[in-house]
Amino acid sequence: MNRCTLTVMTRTGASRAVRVLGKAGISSTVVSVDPSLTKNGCGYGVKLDCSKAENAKKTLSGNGITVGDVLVGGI
Amino acid sequence: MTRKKTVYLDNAATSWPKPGSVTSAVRDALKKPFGNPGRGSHSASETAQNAVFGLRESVASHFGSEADRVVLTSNATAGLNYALKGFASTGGHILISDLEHNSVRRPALALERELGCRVDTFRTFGGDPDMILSDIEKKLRPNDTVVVSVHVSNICNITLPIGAIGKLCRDAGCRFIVDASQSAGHRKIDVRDERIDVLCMPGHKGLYGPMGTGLMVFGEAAAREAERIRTTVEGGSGAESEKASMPDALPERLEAGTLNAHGAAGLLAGVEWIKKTGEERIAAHERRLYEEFVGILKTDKRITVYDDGGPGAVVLFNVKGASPAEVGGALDRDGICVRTGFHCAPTAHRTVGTGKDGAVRVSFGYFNTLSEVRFAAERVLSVSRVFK
Repeated sequence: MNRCTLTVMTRTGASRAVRVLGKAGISSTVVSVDPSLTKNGCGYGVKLDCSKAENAKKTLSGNGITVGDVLVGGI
Repeated sequence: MTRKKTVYLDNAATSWPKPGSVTSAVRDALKKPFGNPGRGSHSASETAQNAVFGLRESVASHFGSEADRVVLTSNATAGLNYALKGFASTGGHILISDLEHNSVRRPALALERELGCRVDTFRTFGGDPDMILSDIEKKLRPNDTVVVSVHVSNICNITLPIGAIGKLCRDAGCRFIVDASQSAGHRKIDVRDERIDVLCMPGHKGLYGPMGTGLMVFGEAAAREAERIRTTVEGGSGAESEKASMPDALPERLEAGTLNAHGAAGLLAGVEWIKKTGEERIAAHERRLYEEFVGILKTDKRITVYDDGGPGAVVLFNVKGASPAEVGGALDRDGICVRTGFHCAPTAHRTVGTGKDGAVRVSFGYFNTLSEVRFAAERVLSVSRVFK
């Protein structure tokens, strides 16, 4: 199972993302992200099953949480 | 010598005692590994972060917002300063009520001096909603004014119609900041329904948290433009460290430096206690105490009660022939804690018409009892007899 990380700007955004995804039935965890790996310097992310990444991105966007990048693999 | 029992009647300054769950939460947070929230990914930091985020979620659900629109501050004054200074523009217009505390009046006057803002005051007419709205409407400058209004006065029970003021501001394209220092935990407030841009409150009064805690709760419209809010304090935020300025997004934009995570753990317990107990029940109990106290004071014609007829539980009074400080000192000798003077709200005192030395303020909390209130009221009558 591939793991992906959806990056977000702030730690609070990451915590909220985990809660929002949990309510949508998508399991995820907060991770720190090296900002140099991202286009917009995001420092946090939520790690989840890659097969759920697109759905998760839409869910987060629908709840006002902006996702930066989708990083594939381990961090 | 036996120690006097404390009868604490200064809950408008800070509430005491706190619910047992608040004491336990702070003690537990201090005992376990509590790292710096949002400053690392190790387990101790995560423990603290979870407490902080839990508080944001709990507050957001209670006041009609979202977790990432809840900013933790050190008190209501800090939040009011961040909000007012964040929205005010050079040469812009600020409109405040004639009941404001110095936590609003002083930053507004500082902006007048420093940014050339014009500061106007709207009148509160003893709480008459139609007259208040009419006065605000006359003074608003569309798309320019930042309106700051206290919800419930800290010296009397006058309550402002914040929902109607919010609508007026939204229709005129103006920002609306509410000081809920005396109403949070006593009245139900929803930033969506009342169209509030920023609701500021202390954690240590009606929410029964520890001192050193405060909250700003943002409405959706203001949060959407968070990057336009001018920051008054800059520093570490645990995010976007390479950037020269604070992050654009809330809450980190307004949270420079380490948060009071131990306080947040206690405040979370306080907010949960409020939710469980219910504002209506708390307000009804305090009002019962108010009626008992005022009823006894009114038996003495030498005592002036500034009775505004509002629904709250703050009593403001003076005793003929005695200064407020003399009354407060005499009560303190009996273990009764009240607040005297101007209560950091000289404009409000002028509006109410208390006099050159201010007045004595008694403010009840959920843990006060009828017997305490009767004892305190009888002691005020005794003081009145002494100064006859």
